Amino acid sequence: MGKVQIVTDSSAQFLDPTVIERYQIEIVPLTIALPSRKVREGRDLDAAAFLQAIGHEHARAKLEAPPVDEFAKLYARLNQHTDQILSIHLSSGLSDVWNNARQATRTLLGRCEIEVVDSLTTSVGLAMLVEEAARVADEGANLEEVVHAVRAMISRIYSVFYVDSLDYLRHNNLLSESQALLGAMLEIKPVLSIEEGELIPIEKVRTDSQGIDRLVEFALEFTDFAELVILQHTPHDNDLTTMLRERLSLEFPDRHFPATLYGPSLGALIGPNAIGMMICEALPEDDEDEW
Amino acid sequence: MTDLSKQPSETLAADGQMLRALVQAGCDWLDQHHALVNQLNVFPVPDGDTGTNMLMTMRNAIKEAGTYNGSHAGQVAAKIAHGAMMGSRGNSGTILSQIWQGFAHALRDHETFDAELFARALREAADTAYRGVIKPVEGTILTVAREAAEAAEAAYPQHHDLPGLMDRVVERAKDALARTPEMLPILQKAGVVDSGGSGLVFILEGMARSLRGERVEPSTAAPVEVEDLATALAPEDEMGYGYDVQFIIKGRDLNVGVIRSAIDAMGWSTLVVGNEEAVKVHVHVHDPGIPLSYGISLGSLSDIVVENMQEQYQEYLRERTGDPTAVEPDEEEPPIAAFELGEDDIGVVAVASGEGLARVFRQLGATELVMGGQTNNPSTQEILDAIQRVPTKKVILLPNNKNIILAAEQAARLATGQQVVIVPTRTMPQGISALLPYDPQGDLQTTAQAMDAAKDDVVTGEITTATRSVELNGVEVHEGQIIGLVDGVLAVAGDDLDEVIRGVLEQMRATEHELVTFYYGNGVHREEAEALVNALSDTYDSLEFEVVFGGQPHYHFILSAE
Repeated sequence: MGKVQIVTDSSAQFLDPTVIERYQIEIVPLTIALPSRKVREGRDLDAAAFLQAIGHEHARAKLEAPPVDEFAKLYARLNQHTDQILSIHLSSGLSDVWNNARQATRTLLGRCEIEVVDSLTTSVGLAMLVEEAARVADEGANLEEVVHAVRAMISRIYSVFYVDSLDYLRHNNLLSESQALLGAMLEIKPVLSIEEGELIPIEKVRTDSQGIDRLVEFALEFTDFAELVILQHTPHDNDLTTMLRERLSLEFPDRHFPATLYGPSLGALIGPNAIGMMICEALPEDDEDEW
Repeated sequence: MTDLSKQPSETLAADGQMLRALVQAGCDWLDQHHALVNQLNVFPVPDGDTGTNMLMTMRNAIKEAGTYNGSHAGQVAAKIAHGAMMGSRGNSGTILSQIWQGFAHALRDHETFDAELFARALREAADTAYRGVIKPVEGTILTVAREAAEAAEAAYPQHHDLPGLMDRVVERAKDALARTPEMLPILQKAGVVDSGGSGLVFILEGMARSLRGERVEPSTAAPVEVEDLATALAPEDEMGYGYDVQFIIKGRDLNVGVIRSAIDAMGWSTLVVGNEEAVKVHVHVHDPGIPLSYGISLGSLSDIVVENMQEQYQEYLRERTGDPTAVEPDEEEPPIAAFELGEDDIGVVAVASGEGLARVFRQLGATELVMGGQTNNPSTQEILDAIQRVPTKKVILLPNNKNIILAAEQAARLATGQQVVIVPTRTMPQGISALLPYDPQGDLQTTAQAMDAAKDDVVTGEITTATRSVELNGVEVHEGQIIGLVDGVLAVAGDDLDEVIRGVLEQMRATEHELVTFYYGNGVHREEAEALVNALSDTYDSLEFEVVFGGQPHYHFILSAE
């Protein structure tokens, strides 16, 4: 039967990229449309340069899902050496990727066991889920067991971002009228969180200091993290990162949290000046998974 | 009106008609002296005038009393009290209305009153006033009210006639007033007696005079001249006649940064804000056609306003000596819709001292606005009306001025049928900051708490012109100088605006913050505000500055640092 083949998309950000090779994870590249051209994430795209580009040119970037038949072709190819596929993707509340993938599975009906899972997250959060799926699959679990493991983890993934504008969300048609930020006379910056798969504004602030405080307050709502990853708009710590680290260390003195540059597909939604965190909530002590 | 000059000096009892006449006389005597009372304001600032506030409170009381033609003293008193309550402005006006509440309560079932009842009524008046304030302070109107009651009680055994009793009352009230600096150190430092107490003394004195048969005429003086505080800043319009052009571009994929650069090159004092679908442009140019043509090339235009700035400024100067609240609106746009409120949602009422500030509050989601008026203190009625206009049962009220908090509390108590929570913001910037966590669908207490916490996220600076000379907090102020307050405390005084602003920024610890916002008042031109801020940003290069039209009277600039 072979191991379950794991498929995801380029929005997933692995802190340790060797995981991809090790578990033979298949990555579907997403397209990002800029005013002048389209680029494919992961391939012809330098993430840091991308963020700089949208920053300098005030350019808007729009996330585009691979068409249904691209998924269909991929699954058909994979079907040649496996009959169990788990395709886990960027939240359906943020793009059409999951939807297109799901439609593509109809072409495989009967010939292959395939599950398309909506991660309800993206970026590092998605990668955490993918890695867990791959690990479990590697231990010999069947498709149903892998799906079960992933689904159990989805509700433990949280995200929060401090951004400089809602325009990026608006450009990607992800902002409802009622969420449109008020206050055109004053500089107002939103704090966003992914809730039920959607990026929604949860707070309004005026300064970086206030924005960082909101991020820390968000973190404080958890009794413990299995993981907390800082997402920043530069490859190395910037001023926002430093501020966030300082305040986090006051609350969590013994922990050091990894930070990474966020990828283009997330950048298209939160812009080139954001900072955020993705958190995987720790399992309560007395709740043990049985495998 | 009853001609009291014909009354025998041995007046033993009075009815409602006479009460009305007495209170009218008290009002008229206060009217003649209210400018004096205004001068006693400890802070040399041009708003929150106690004399004007108390006078307006009394006038509303009289107006309400006029709706009852009978002679039942208790009924007249009740009308006076109600009118005072609804018309109360400022802390002094509100405490005065509490005095009338107590007074009316004592008289409620009595058609006439004699000296003994009058003494009891004064006692109840004083007690009610004390109870209405969370932290009563001696050396204020409360002290004068209390001692007036004590004097009446002590005098009664000897004086069964109202005029005699009243004379003793006024004598003691004046004595108490003279002693207020001994009780309240800040009065001593400022070299004045308490303004609220002084207002009450004039009211009592007016009543005594009319009991003695001395005519008290309503004031014939011209309405109080509003000093043209802007003259110190009146800009020489070096640019010559220019036009103030504003419009909104509606389109798709609009690039705010690109539009801003283009507009900036066309004139001066550029403000361009918005998003991909709507961009608001505001610029001063010599030829309005240029920015308008540019705007049309990008989309459709709406809310177009073109104003001749020189004419506007002159019109404004003319209006300033009349009703200062009738400010030439700077931007005509309809209010951007606040949140659509469902029945169970929370609405917000905010007090604004200027049109621009009102607009900011609306844009941040405030449901209803109350304008501050000439003294920056709206009446209890005005606040209550705004609360009742909110279409929901839960309301959060932002007074945005420490002199409005008592009137706000009174209005909240009167708003039966709605749950009103006051977030005690003391300045406009505190109100703005408090609105950031406002969540209409939130839980009332939680939201109010979040807003209460947020109000302290800013430091407020206020720049105005001193109305008197005084020394306070170690700062020496001469009348006419520019002064700066930080979180309501006098901090800087000087002859040069730029110097005072820098001093205020220092006292505000601006460098420890990230963003300083300048809200310019209705005496200041945007270009002037921007020039000033541009000069500052050279010195304070780690700070971000914002310039926003506030439109407030009296205060050239309100600053916030966060």
